[in-house]
Amino acid sequence: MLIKLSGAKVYDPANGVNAEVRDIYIRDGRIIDKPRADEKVDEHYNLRGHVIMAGAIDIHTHIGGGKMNLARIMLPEDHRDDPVPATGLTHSGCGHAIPATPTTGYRYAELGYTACFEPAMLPANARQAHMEMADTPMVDKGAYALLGSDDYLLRMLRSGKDQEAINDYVAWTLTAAQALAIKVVNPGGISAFKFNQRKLDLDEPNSHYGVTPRQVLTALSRAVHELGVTHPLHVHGCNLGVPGNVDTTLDTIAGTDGLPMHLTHVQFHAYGTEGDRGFSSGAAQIAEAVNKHENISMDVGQIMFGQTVTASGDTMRQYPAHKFASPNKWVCMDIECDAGCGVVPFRYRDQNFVNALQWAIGLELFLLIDDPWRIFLTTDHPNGAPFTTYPHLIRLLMDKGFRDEQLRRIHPDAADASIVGSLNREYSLYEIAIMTRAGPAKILGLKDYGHLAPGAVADITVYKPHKNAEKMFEKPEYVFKDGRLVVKRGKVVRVVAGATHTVRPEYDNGIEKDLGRYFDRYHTMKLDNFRVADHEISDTGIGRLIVQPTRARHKA
Amino acid sequence: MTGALNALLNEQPVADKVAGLKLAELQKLAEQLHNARYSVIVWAPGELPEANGEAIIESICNLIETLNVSTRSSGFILGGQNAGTTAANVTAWLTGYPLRISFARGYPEYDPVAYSTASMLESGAADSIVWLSTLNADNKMPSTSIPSVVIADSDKAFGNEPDVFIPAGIPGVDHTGAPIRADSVVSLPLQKLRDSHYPPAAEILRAIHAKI
Repeated sequence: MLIKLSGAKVYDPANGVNAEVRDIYIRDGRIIDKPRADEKVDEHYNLRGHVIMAGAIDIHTHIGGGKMNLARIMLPEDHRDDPVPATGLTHSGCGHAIPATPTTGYRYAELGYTACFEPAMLPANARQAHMEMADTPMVDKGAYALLGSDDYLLRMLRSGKDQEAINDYVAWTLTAAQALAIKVVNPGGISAFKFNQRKLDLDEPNSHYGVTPRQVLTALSRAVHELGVTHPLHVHGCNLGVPGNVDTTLDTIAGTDGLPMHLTHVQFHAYGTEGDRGFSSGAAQIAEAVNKHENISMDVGQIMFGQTVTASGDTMRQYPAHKFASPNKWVCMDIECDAGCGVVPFRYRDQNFVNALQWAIGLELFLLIDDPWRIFLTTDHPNGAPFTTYPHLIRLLMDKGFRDEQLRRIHPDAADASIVGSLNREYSLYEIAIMTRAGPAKILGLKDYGHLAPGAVADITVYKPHKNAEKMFEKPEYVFKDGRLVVKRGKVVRVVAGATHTVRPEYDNGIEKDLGRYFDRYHTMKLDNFRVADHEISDTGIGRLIVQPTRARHKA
Repeated sequence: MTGALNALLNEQPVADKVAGLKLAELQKLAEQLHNARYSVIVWAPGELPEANGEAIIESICNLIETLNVSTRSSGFILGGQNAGTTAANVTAWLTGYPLRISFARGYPEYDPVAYSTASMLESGAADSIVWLSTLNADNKMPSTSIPSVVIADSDKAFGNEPDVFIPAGIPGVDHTGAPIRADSVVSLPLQKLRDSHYPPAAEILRAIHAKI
């Protein structure tokens, strides 16, 4: 099967291609340089006047795992307003804030996305998360295993186990949970909440283990680095949502000893305490620090106004947030030896000072951080807003006139307290392509994705340019997944199953002896049942595994 | 009783005797809960009286909420027989809703009262019944006069003979499976333990669907 895409302007930042008109050939799912002279083109798309980018990649979107199901079950009234009927091609479901898994897949594809990464997979809940992701069609998937509040690691740190042993445990967890990366959420704080600590600063010890968040961050970021895993430790820091947490975030950035670290949904970690209301933007300070520290990457977690639901492992912070639950229902769960989760519905309001400033802080971060290779476009779906708001967000970034117009609609004190109105930056299509394709693929180590050079997997999105960027990005003309046309004029025309990306860094199998004893003593399941076997993903008929390479492991 | 405990913890007046317990006993229990570093209140929804089960659960939740203001407390639900938890979770991710969904209008609609098997049969709203039971032979199809299909591992799954009976394998014996535990966190990988000529129920349903 040979496909030719001709005449479009190509935006392929990984290969330095900026708006050049080029022909792209796809053979059997991959991009090739040129067909042989005797080869016949099976499908030809004349794309003069169109824009081509690699398929978009969402680096941080909650699409699988128990907390999403809690959110779904909690909010039937949200689904009811967005019913999704079955068609001859697609399953029925529901949409808006936490869509059904099939709807999630279709809608991501219809926005030009071809890969989505679940950032908080509890190892004990990994099997279910993978089942949900298997039932999310159209896009590739992957998940980051959650560590840092787990009893086993905290015991290791308390007893001063050496870094090599920690590395073995981290590598074992990545393998057992079929994960692509490691995530830490409120390092040690989810555990501390079980012991009734209500806050935990970076250097404050967990009352039971005596371990500080900084120790957890250091041990895990070193482990990920020394194991050769491409994606740096994915960090949801301490004190989410707390006014004044900008200091914690700055301290976290400064304290990495040069090790790579990815800070996630930084908007929620960029708050100062200035002003009459004791709530202000810390975006400028954070942007300055991120610009200076090249080892730091981040995603924004932009909020958008309207109804959504927050779902997080951070029980310590979700618990106090329940006072703002709208509608007024919520749940917090402590989960065994692993972690916890909290689900709190939220309605962000543009006339609420705090919400309006949160919106502005997210935009400030986007506009003040210079290097689009180190900042990624996210709403922390669904926590800041559903992913379906991305086209609107892209317009806010690309169109100062539109942005200023929106700024005039929010709470006037919040607009005054923000510098957004004075920022003139407008993202280019090239920068959008970096932030939503090339950058995520690079930071996740997906070497055949996010670009359009020969050899790349043919995940491709074709847009029709429009002066209103929202219109352009909400309805791609064509989307190809693994070289097959799956979306035409913003509608799914073919349903495909995506792959699951994982890593398998090497580890000393000896760790299973101690882990086996530990599981028998403290867990509610055997070690062998905890592990998600390859065939559980690859033999379902709707999934396959892709193991991404890691660098050679090096000694601590 | 949980309501009385909650009232005591909120320094509200309580009758001298509640649910057979004297005020002093209730006060002692309230104090123990308040002083505990971590209390867990466990209940089995199936054991609660049908008429006010929901009110009891709400009252337990209110008590847990009060306790968490100063200490830690959780509720733990024992339930989910016959893989009910699994079924509710799978329909939740596939449709957005837990069990008792109608697809009559082409998209899922949730109504736990109107779409319960009992009320669908009683009201005459159901035209036919498909009974799926591969885990518990005692889980019998209700007797009914409407056309019936049973997909089950055993002919014990019905009292009156159904119009169609399709034998199916048992997950964890004849084929693999992954039931989700009552807490909706942990799932167990069930293995195939014997060679069987009975296909998994999922395969039967897929084959039927393909012909519709």
